[in-house]
Amino acid sequence: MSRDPYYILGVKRDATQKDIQSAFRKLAKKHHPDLNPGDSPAEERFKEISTAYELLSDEQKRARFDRGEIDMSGAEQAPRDYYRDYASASDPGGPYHNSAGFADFGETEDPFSAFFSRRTYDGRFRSRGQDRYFSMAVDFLDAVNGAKTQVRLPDGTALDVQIPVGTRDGQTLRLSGKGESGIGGGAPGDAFIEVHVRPHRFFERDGDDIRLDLPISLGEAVLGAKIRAPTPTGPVTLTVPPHSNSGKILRLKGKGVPKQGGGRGDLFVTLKIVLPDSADPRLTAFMKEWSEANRQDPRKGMGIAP
Amino acid sequence: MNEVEFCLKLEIDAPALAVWVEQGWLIPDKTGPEAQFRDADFARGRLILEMTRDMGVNEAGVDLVMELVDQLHSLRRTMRDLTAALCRQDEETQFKILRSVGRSE
Repeated sequence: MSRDPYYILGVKRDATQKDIQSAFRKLAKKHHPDLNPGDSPAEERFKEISTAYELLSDEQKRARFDRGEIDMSGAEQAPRDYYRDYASASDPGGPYHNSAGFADFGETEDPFSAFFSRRTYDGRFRSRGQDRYFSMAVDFLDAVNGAKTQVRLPDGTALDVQIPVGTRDGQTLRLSGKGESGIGGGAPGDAFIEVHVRPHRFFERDGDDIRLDLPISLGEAVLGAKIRAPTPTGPVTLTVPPHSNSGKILRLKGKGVPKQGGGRGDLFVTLKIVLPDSADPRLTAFMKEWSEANRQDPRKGMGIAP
Repeated sequence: MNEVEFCLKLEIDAPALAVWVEQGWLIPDKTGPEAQFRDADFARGRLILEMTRDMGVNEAGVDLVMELVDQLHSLRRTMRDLTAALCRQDEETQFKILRSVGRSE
């Protein structure tokens, strides 16, 4: 397919020289490679536009093209360099370096300001120290209640770390200024510590709440009782109502994890009935007699035959 | 190349080049006995010529464009340095940075 300069410039075949010029100017401003330094295809588009314009802006060439005597290849232009190919002249130290685009960055306290507003590589470059990343394991209750601890660094030194109350598994703590020291008087970096919370023997975390399976005896379940139950802040007395089923959940309000905005989550205690360690002939005899008098099917409603 | 070679190669006259240098659009190397123009200066000169001759940009417009073009290249250079520095970090650090600029996930 032969290329059509009228189509490329977007003008009609009877366009005046003025129309052609203004169409070219619009397209050239939009597609000139030096005005679009990051756009590689701009070069090919600009070449097409320039070639089309060279042909149509010359009345004689335009007339010969209209008669079909020549095509666009006659006006082909040689490959050329653009300024953007030499843009290293805009590097720091180059004659055309212009860091005015960063002037506002330099006024702030952020660690990159020195990097952005540098004018030359003159060795006066200040840089903030690198951040360091560690991970540490903490006990469940230390994470819930908060604690002071130490993390031992690869270089042998120890870093004091305050574990905030309510720290979650996987949470990252930031120790400002505890990273690598800065270059040329720059501020030190930060230390980031990822906290892994060790699981607890019987507490389980559920957001700001804690769950606990609490064993009770058959007698406590049937008759009810006041029993001692562990919480993250120490044991409390808990009332088990008479006739409490296994799986019954009791809520201890405010005995969960301290919340960020104040207050605490709850402790949910799930009762678990535990039979005596060894079979008791009196209990067995009683159960036999009792069961015969009290037919009960706890699985009715599950759609299975008794 | 010197002034004469520059004008011949770009097919412009000496007063035009004098204006470009005076405006600060071109900064030849003046450390030797006569001003020397680099390839970068020539490519720049061609851009200036195309703007004034073909694209209808006047002197004030060229001034503005050259200022912005230089700022743009300096910004692009810094951006490239930053990107290269980012690429040298381990994956976790890259991910953290990308996440905090809101480009990831």
